[in-house]
Amino acid sequence: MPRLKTILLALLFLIGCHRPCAAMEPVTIGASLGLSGRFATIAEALFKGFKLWERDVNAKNGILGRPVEILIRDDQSDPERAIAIYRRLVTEDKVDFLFAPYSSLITEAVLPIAEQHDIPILIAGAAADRLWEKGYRNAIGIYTPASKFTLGFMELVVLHDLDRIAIVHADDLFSVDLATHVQKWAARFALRIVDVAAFKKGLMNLEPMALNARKKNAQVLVVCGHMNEAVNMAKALKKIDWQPSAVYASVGPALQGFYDQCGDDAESVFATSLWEPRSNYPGAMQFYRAYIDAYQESPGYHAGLAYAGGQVLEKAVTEVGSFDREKVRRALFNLDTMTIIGRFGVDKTGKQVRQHTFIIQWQKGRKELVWPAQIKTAEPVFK
Amino acid sequence: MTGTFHSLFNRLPLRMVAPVVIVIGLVGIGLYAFVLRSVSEFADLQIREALNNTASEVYNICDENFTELMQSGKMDDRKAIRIKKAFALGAIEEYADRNKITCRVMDEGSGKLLVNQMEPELMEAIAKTHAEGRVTPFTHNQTVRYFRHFDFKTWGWHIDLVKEMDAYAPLITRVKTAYVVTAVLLFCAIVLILQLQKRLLRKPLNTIIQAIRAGRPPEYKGVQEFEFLSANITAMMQLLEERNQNRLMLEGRLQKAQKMEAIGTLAGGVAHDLNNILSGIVSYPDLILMDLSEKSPLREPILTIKQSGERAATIVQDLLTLARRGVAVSEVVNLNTIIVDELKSPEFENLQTLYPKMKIVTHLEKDLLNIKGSATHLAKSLMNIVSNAAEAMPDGGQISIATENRYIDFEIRGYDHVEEGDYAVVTIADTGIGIPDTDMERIFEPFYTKKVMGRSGTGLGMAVVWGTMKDHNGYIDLVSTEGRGTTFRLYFPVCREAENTEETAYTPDDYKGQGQSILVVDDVATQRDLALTMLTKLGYQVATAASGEEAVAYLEANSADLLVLDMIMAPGIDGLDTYQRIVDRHPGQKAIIASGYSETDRVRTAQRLGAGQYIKKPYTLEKIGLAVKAELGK
Repeated sequence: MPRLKTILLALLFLIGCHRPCAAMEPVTIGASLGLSGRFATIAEALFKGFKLWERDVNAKNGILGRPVEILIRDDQSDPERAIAIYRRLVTEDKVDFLFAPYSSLITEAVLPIAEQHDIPILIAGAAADRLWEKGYRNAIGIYTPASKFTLGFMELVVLHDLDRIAIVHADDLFSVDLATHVQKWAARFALRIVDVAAFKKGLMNLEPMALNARKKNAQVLVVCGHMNEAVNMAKALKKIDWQPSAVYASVGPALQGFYDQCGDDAESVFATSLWEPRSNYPGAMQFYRAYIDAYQESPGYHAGLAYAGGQVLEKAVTEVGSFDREKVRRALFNLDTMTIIGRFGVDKTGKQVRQHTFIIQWQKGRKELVWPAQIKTAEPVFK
Repeated sequence: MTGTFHSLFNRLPLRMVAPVVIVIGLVGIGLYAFVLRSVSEFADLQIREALNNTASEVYNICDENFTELMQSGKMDDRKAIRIKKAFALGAIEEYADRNKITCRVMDEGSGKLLVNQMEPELMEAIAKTHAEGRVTPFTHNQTVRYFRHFDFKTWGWHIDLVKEMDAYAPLITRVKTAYVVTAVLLFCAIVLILQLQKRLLRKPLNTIIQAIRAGRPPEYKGVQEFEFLSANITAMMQLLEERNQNRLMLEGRLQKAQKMEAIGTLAGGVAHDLNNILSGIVSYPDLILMDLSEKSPLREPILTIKQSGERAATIVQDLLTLARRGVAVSEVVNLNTIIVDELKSPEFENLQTLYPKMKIVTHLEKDLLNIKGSATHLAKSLMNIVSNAAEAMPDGGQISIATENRYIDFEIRGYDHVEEGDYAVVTIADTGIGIPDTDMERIFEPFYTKKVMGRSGTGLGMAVVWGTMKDHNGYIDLVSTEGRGTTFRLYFPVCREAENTEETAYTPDDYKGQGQSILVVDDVATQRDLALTMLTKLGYQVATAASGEEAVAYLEANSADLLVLDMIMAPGIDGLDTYQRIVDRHPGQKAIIASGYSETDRVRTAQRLGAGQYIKKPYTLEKIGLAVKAELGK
């Protein structure tokens, strides 16, 4: 309920803002987000990021003089609903471009629609590598894929002489993908995997997996999932009273909501962040402040990803001076630019290759940047 | 076998299609050799180069990480080395994924696989082609792959890279597709060509050929060129048909002419012998009568003998006419005169007596042009036709005789073939029983008659008509319908000379000699004796020679004012050779020629050498007397 209130406030804020280029026909960008359902927390962050970019770009006379209008519909975190929404966006609303929904699961479901209608779709809420292994020509990744999420964490594990890793992952596309790459990186770093355990997405009680990891004398516990899995694992560890040397949860801990839900149990948990205001990328701090002004809260990296998605599209269109989809698509594939989340550049499959990740750790109620070492705010803590 | 192949190869469709197929085949081979192979070779080179570049890039990844490690001063930091190696391995794997390369990195020291994207079977396959520093192609799972191995010795890494040809597969597939499409198009082109050939070439040709084989005009309609060809073939076939009919007609006519000629030759031979026999019967009565008094009881029988002889001579003359050896056509005559005279003749009167119901109607053109011919034979021929007409009307009827001048400006292909020219035409039409079709072709043959032989005529009547017409260079047209009558139309070439109407009556005194010397040369003794008697009677000094050689010998020692020279003598030299030899020794030697045969080229040659008149045996006293006197008087 408080989330809905925030959304309505945001909408009112955006409607009320000054739109100097309203006279021209707007360029429309369609998207669905799980504003309700299991992905609601992160989807809300993406929503706010998109809308903030929409406000900012329209304040600058839109793109090529045309106002920008983002049509976002709630897919209730359901792939089937998302498919229907994207079909409607393409055939009825006839949007010019598309933003992908949140999660690799739902993004994988809607990509064929974009492909069928040959519309560039910017992916700011999904990271499974397999999304770019299907040969789609319109899928543009905004941020680093899952294969590189744990790179920094693994370095930290080596540096602190840890070796035995247990992996617990949900069975959704992103989580499975991430777990696979954790194993790969572990091999590269010559680390041992002592256990890999999968569970059904949405499972609340993760104690059995935690117990099993403990049983295997794991020093490092890697949880591959989203916010819920991160929170549930933190609670499970508390319940079985086990504190591995290091706990990593892929998505969730980078957001304030994780700490809000876990409190002290969030302590020492590592996670990957795809954007941090302290990274000092161009516009990052302005975005940070504007976000707080607009929503009275600090932005997580998901909001930054959404905002960066808008920035990338704006730069591609501006570069070719046209809204022609094919021209814009070619520009996106050749674009090498800076956004608030870092450098943008994709390979020939559309997968992001130039953006970098960060590793954060909750230390004494604070989200500290612990990797890369050059910009870390605190030393990583291992138990 | 060779014949079958030759026959097969000579078929029009094969000869037309074979070059097309050969060209298309060559194009196909050319495409394969120069395009597809070139593309494959290009792809091969490109992949080798790409794999070499990849190896270089992978080496650079290792090298960069190692360099960074060196520069960080942590070469002795085990953890730092481990991290750098991990980063390098991650980058290598990512690079391999991005470039669709299968990669394997093995730590040489521990034998551990640090990166392994290869299936065991693939690893076995590359083990066979393992070679340092160069790209080696090999086939695995029916796919062509390229293998490249190198070492990053600093870290003791043994690196294998495998790349499939699929980077250029779309290009090769496209070229192959283009090749297949081209092959299909070329095949379609062949089919189309065959169809067009069938429709526009073979079908029209077959239509034309089948019609020709069936012996009918093609009459093809459709393709313009074949229409033209068909029309020409049709025209040619019609022309050939006409020519064939003409040829058959001419052959028929030739056969008829040859038959007539053969019969004539036979008749001529008989006539020659009969002439010699008849000479005595015709000539001696005159001599005897000269010595008999007017009141002699022998005079009447001798006259009868003479007349009988003359009638026999007439038959012989018919035979000679038939043989076309007896007609001199140099006399200018008018057919109207001959017809009028003939209608007044005793023969015609006899005919009217025999056929009292016969009615004669004449339509004679007033200014009918003259012709050159023999009045005697013409009269005889006309009389023969009229007689036959009368006989064809036993119950009476009408015979119309008409003459007209007529110019024929195009050929008449009737019973006879009348050439273009000016003609005096005699038409004799009766209303008799007509001539059956079966008899039409043969009525002019000698002795071909439906009448009872010996009752009337000699059986030579119509043959004489035919011979006379041919001697006069004329033509006969005959139209007959059974039960309605027959029409003879006789075409005579006209001449523009005036008719000689003078007739002179001679007495023996007009042709008596005055003792001039005459040498009679004849191989037949009776003829020599007859001539000796007749000429002696006329007052000449007569000597005889039984052959040409004898005559020449005689004139070596003697002379003669005139020679009476027989033309045909056997054995030995004939009249012409005799005269030739005599003239050689006695230039200007006068001579007349006497022969039972008609005037021939040899007679005319002798005349050109200086010989005078030609008289035909059997001759009368008057005829030989006038001829001798005329020649001596020159």
